[in-house]
Amino acid sequence: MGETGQRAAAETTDRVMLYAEPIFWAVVPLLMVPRGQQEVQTIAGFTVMMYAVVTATLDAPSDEHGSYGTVIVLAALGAGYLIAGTGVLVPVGALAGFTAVAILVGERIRRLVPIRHTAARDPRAAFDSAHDITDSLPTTPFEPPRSQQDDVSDPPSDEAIDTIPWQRVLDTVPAPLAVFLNREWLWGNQAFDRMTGYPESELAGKDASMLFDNPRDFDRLMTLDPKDFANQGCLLVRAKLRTKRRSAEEALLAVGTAKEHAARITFIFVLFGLVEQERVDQLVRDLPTTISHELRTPLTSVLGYSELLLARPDMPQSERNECLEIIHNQARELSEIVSAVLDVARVDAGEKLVLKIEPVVIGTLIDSVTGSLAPRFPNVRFVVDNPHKDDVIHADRRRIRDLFHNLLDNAAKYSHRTGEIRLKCTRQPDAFLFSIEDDGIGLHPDQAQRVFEKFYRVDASNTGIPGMGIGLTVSRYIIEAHGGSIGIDSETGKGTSVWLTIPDKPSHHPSAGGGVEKNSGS
Amino acid sequence: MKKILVVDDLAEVRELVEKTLARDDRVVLKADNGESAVEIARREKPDLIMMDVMMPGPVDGLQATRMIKQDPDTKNCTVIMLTAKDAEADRVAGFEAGADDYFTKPFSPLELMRKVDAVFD
Repeated sequence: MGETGQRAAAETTDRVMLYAEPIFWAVVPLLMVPRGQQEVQTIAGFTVMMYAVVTATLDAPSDEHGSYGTVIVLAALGAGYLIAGTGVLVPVGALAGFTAVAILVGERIRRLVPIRHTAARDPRAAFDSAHDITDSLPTTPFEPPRSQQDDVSDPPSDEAIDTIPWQRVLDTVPAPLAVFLNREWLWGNQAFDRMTGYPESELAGKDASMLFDNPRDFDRLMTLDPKDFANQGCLLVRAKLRTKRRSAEEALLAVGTAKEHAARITFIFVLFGLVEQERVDQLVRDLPTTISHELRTPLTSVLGYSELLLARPDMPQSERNECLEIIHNQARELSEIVSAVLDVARVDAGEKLVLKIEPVVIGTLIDSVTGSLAPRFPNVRFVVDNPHKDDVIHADRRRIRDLFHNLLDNAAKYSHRTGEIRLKCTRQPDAFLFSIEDDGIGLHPDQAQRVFEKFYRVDASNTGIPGMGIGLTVSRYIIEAHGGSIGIDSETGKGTSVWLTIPDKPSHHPSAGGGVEKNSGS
Repeated sequence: MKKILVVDDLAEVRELVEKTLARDDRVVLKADNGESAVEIARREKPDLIMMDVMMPGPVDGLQATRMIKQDPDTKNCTVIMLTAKDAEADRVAGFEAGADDYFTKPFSPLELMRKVDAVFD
């Protein structure tokens, strides 16, 4: 690839310069010794002085210590030439020149040694060491790999890093991460792209300060010396970031920095702030559309069928009853949606769900749920395996009914509205275990892990299945409030099985998620 | 005999539209997804299609409308979108797909009845 090639070439030039520079400067002071070369020596003096000034201007901001050292050495060398150029104090000029060169060579050698040391020859070892870094970065402070803990200022060489598919590795990290070379944006992982909303083309090569509300914030980061926070590994700072879509937002950043040659590499992890905020923003933006769609569907039936009844007084009684039943079911659906939204809001606000516990006959409960779903899914067969029809659970009747209704409705919706949904009830020592199985589209393991999250929807855009993404969240809140537990097993293309337990004495097992009326006065 | 095809993934809505539009001189056909809507349209060549937009499966109502309007065999049938999507952009998308009219849910059965009578008369 062009970019890699360019980088390799730049690295080679860098290395050649690193070796050649001291040798070159070791030779030039000899020019100061012969008399009668004053013009040459004066010109050399001015040239070196100019070089010192240029180095001080260009490099110093990005590489304070190394460059200031180089500037001083160059200035001394230039002065040596100029003195020698006078033709009077040649030995003094030569001495100054030699001293300067000795310092320069010493400094270069000191910087060369650790670089050689860390240039891992074994790509596998380099990969392993780099993988440790990326793994530890998002959750724990940045720990330099072992071989470099003694000297944080020397990161692994480009050669070692180039052997690692680090962009791919870092793309999997959910926390936004960006890498800067000196001041320039070099690379950001996918989470970073999502957060900022900038396409890569808009960031590449740009000054990093554009991401900060106050451009001087990044300048401050650039003045940090890695040695100052070597013990913590990285520095936690709060700063206001700016993204394409949003004005300034405060975020918590973990900043790691390292120097190689004259370049400074800065890593910025966004640990908290915009990420969560961005997701919430999207939800808030979508919420009116989602809710209105969810409410409109049952409202269509309630309003439509009632208008039809009013407009056709001559409708046969059996057909009237059919319409009324649909109106009733759909109005109930509306009420379920409202209750679910309220329950989620309550739990989120830190309130307990106040349950109204009463004896509920299992058979009646299940019949009522499957009865109301059957007309909705004419091609679905609800198969109930319940040897405990006449047994009683102690539960919040309305919420438990809503919960089963929602789980069976989900199972039918995600099975293309055809096939078999199996509901099974089994007895456990101190609880009833229910399971609802379908042969539907199923879930990936990572989707299955997230379905109880609020507003999480499985590929909502692809399935075309409506919903708000709170059904399973509220199911979990309700079951936990009863002291039971709920879980999901699923396989893509095979189907899904949701299981839940309802303990015999819910009031004795109040969980963090809720409470029951008897003992929750708060 | 006029043929009407009602496309909606929800049985209650299909039935509501059927009850609203059924008359002795009309046949009402039903489909619960975009794919079978296109298939039935090709086979039965209905005079009117009531089309929902958001439906599970690979073909949504907009795509189905496009396919029906692009097919020389079915392009003459009237397509009325009947959907909960009521934003300006949704309407535009509906008309761009080839819809002849756009109704949003919840809808008034009486209004729909008059509309369809007007289409047929």
